[in-house]
This record gives sequence, structure tokens and C-alpha cells, in this order.
Amino acid sequence: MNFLEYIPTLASGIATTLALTALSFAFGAVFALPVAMARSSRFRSLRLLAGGYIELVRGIPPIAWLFVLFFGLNQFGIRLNSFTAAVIGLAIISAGYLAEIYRAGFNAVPAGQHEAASALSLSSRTTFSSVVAPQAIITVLPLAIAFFIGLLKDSAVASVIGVQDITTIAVSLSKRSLDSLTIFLAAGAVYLLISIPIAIFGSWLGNRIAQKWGARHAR
Amino acid sequence: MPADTWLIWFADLMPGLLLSLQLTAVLLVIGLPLGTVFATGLGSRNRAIRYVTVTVVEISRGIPALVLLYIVYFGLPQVSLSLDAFFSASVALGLSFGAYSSAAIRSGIDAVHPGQREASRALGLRHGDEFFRVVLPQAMKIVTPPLLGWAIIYFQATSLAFAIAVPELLSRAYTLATQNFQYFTILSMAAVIYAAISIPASLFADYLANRRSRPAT
Repeated sequence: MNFLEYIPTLASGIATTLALTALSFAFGAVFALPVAMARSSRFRSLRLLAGGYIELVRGIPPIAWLFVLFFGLNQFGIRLNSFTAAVIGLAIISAGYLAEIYRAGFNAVPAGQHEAASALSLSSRTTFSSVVAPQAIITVLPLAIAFFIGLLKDSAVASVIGVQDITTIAVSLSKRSLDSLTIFLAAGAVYLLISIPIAIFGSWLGNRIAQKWGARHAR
Repeated sequence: MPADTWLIWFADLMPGLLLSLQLTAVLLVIGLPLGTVFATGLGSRNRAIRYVTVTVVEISRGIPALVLLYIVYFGLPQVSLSLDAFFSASVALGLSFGAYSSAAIRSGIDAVHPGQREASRALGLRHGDEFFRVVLPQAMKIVTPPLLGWAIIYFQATSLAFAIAVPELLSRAYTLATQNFQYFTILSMAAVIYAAISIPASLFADYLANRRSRPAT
């Protein structure tokens, strides 16, 4: 009956929701690197391939990715459990979005920085790791954290294939009671409550990094 | 796999696609005015209105759209407000659309040259006329590309209505797949249909945005 009474039960889904989000974000963040590199490659075919991948990720709803992976692969005798399918699906999506975020970060680094690095005859690896990457991260970090929070909410679709996350627990609770409104409002509150600290941590981290590296690179 | 079987499946998916498009249209009819109301609330001079609007917008954005859908479909009947599945999906996704698009609409309103408002006041237009006949039409022109982008995202989000058994594109694909056991083929077909609409539409939105960003001659 009470709004707050449902929170502890729903909280047992937080671990699953966070694990799902963090794992798919981590895999996506790694796989986004080659995609971002291909996207700004010298070779037209690689650029087109990466561009096509990003468009496909943006053009197909997350739930359809999960369905193709979870139900679809059965057709070939591949059975993924729902959590694995959800991680793979959300990682595929994250890789596309994060690749675009990386690219925005690298494009934000002024061309003069590359020229200065080559004038100082830095190797291309040093240029990347000591000149370009630290400046790009100032742009990338806030966007990546905003994406992470978005992914946390998108991860609710995994409940449709049966991942035991916050939403699934809310659905099963509501089937056993007549208090659906309170239960789903409580579930919404749980999502809000976990997003807020992440957002605060994100802006704190962003400020710190900007202070630490930004000052040195200003002008 | 024979091509005519694919064609039959494709034809079977069409009513689903039509329903997805209808759902998109209805959620936009709800969401666009709501987004405009939120946008004016966000820029209100009255602090209470501003705070209330920010709270409503942040809550609607902070809760997953799927949970909003469940709140409307399973929750509202508890306060004797029963909506059918299609309308529940329209209301929930419309609210979500309104909340997300409000920031874009707000920046569109702010981008209208202040001289336009001054001129309306100099001409003695009433407040309502100033907003609806001078500012809003110009703002809408500015925000068309980002709003088109949001509309594409929400066309895809209509797939969430699967969860409350609205027979939209993905639901039809799923039902068809369970009858034929051709899960991969049919579900991929649905995915490709989403992409075939979303990708050209977003390319068009990009085109509009680029055309507009060029300096006016």
C-alpha cells in the first residue's frame, strides 16, 4: 500500500539493471573505438561501413535488436540466455552511439594541436595519447555520461525478454497485488534515484578533468 | 528461402507498420502541444511555474518510457482512469516526447529575434497573438529538424507498445514468427522495416538542418 514499502523489493533489481548497463556500456565503449576510427579513415569503404553501422544502430529500436538476438538466433540453434542477449544487444547499440561521441571529441580538438605536435616531431602515438586524447576527453566525458544514463533507462526494455531487472520485478509485484500505480511509480522513482548520483558524479568528474587538463590547454 | 514467402510475410507485417505509424501520429498530436507548454513553462518569469515545469520534465525524462507506459496502462485504472492499450501508449509516449522535445522548442523560441516581440508590442498585439502568431510560427520553423529527429526516435519507441499487447509492427512480427518458427528471418524483416523508414527520415532531417544553418541570403 505504501510507496516506500515497495522500494526495498524493487531495489533487488538494481544490481541487475546496473550490471546490464555497465557491461553493455563497457563492451560498447571498446568496440566503439574501431568504429570511430573506421568512420574517419582514409578509405572510403571503411568510412561507408562504419557510417552504415551507425545508421543501422540508430534506425532500429533497441527492443528489435534484443528480439533478433534472443528469439531470432534460436532459428540457427543458438540459444542465448536473456541477460547475455540483452548485454550483446545494448552493447551493439552503445558502440554506434559512443563511436559518434568519440568522433565529436576528436573533431573538437583544434587542427593547430595536430600541426604543433607534428612540428615538434612527436610520434603519432604520442600525439594521440598526450595531445589529442586528453583534450578530446573533456568533450567526450559529459556526453558519454549522459549516454550512460540514457542507456540505464533503455535497459528497461530487457525486461521484455525476461531479464530480472527493476522493471521485471515491478511487473511481477503488480501481478500479485492491486496496487499497480504505486508499484510502477516506485519503480520510476528507483530509476530516478540511481540516475541522479550518476549525473552528479559525472558533472563533478567533468569539472575536475576540465580543471586539471583544460587550464593547461586553454588557448 | 522462396521469395514469395517473404512477400507474404511482408504483407502480413504491413497492418502492424500502419498501426505503428498511427501511434506515432497520435503521440505527436499529444506530445507536440505538451512540449510547447513545457517550453513556455521553462521560460516563464514566474518562478513557481518554472520550478513545477522543470520537475515535471525531469521526472518524465528520468523514468524509462517503458515504465511510463506501465504507469498509464496498469496504474491509472487503479484511480479509475482506464485507457485502452493503444491510447495508453499514445499518452505515455506523448508525455515522454513532450518532455524531451521541450528543451529544443525552448531554444527555438529563444532563437526568434527579440525585435519580433518588440515590433508586435509596438503594433499593440495582445500577448496571445504575439506568441501564437508571431513568435511560435518562427520558432517552429527553426525547430523542425530537431523535432523531426525526436519524431523518428519516437516512431521507433512505439515498439515498446509490444509490452502492453498493441498489435504494432514488432508485435505482429513476433506473432508471425511464433507461427512459422522463422524467428530470425521475420524479426529481422521488422527491424529492416524500422530502419527503412528511420534512416531516410533522419537523412532528410540532417539535410533540413544543414540547409537552414547556411547563412540566409
